[in-house]
Amino acid sequence: MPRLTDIEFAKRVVSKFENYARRPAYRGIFRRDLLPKALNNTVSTKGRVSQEKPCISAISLMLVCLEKHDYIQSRCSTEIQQFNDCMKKFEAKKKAKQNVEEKGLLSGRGRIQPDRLNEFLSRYPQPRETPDQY
Amino acid sequence: MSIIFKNACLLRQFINPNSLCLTQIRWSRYDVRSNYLEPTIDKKELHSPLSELDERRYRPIKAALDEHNTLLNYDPLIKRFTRHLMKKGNKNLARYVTEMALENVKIIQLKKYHKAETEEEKSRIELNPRKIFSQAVENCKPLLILQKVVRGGVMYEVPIPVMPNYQTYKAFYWLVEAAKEKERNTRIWDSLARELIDASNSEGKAVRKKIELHRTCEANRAYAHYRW
Repeated sequence: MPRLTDIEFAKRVVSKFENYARRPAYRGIFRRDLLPKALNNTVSTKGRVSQEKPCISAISLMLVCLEKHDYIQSRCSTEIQQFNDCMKKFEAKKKAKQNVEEKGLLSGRGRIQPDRLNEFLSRYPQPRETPDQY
Repeated sequence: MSIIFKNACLLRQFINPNSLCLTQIRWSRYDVRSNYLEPTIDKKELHSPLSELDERRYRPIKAALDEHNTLLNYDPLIKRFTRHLMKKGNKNLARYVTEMALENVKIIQLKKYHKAETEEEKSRIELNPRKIFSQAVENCKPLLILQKVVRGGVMYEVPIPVMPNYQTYKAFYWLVEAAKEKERNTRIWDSLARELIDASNSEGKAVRKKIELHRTCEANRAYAHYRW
């Protein structure tokens, strides 16, 4: 098996302090504006953080009860049950919204959500450009 | 050689050529784009007829795992626990540890049962180790967790609700962590069995860790309205 190091050394002479200096930033080839323009297969999902705060009153009630009873859960079963029911309701609402999005593609605002769009783009990607085009 | 050291499965095959290496090492082999469905394991569901609009008629389905079965003692929670214990793909050892731990639970409970004198005391003792295991995991599940949120340059720990999947993970983590605090000459399955029995009675180190987390959640209750 040929050793790659020998080949690498044959190409150029390594001077003593070569590694000390920084390499010049050679970005000519990779500059974006020089590349042919093409559409991506993704869109950004930046603004898609859920900002809902479900069941805050239920949480505080539960914590007060737990503190009162020395953190024994069996004594606060009603509060815990209420909290769990609240969370279940929230999850169901979330899922229903998701189902509507999946069926009709549109959310309440009448726009396709970016997550959904990404899913579709991964399933049906943009056609590849042929080199003749540029 | 680096490939062999990374995967214990292959290493075992290297030592003993008769052993099979069936584990999927990395990445899913199912393409996301073709929308694979999960396999059905429940026997009743398998025998019931398919409706005409069922998705299983026209969508591809994943193959069942080798650990899936329709036996009576099939417990997905215990299967998940073995996967949690597993290191470097050595499931054989992880399965051995869990089985030994459950066996030790059974032995300890039986000893208690034979020591008990009255019928009333005997009726209170739970002898099924699988039930004890599920009870222990249930008792270790946290209700809330803390998430760090930066507000105005100050970091707050905000209590937030947990998803059920993460709850079980946290319970497993605490149980194993508590079992690992042992002397050198005691085996992990012995300490794990003791920890499981303690946790099923809501005692022990794992449950104490959960209570500690609840306590810090209570201290940071005022920050609950912060956005996360």
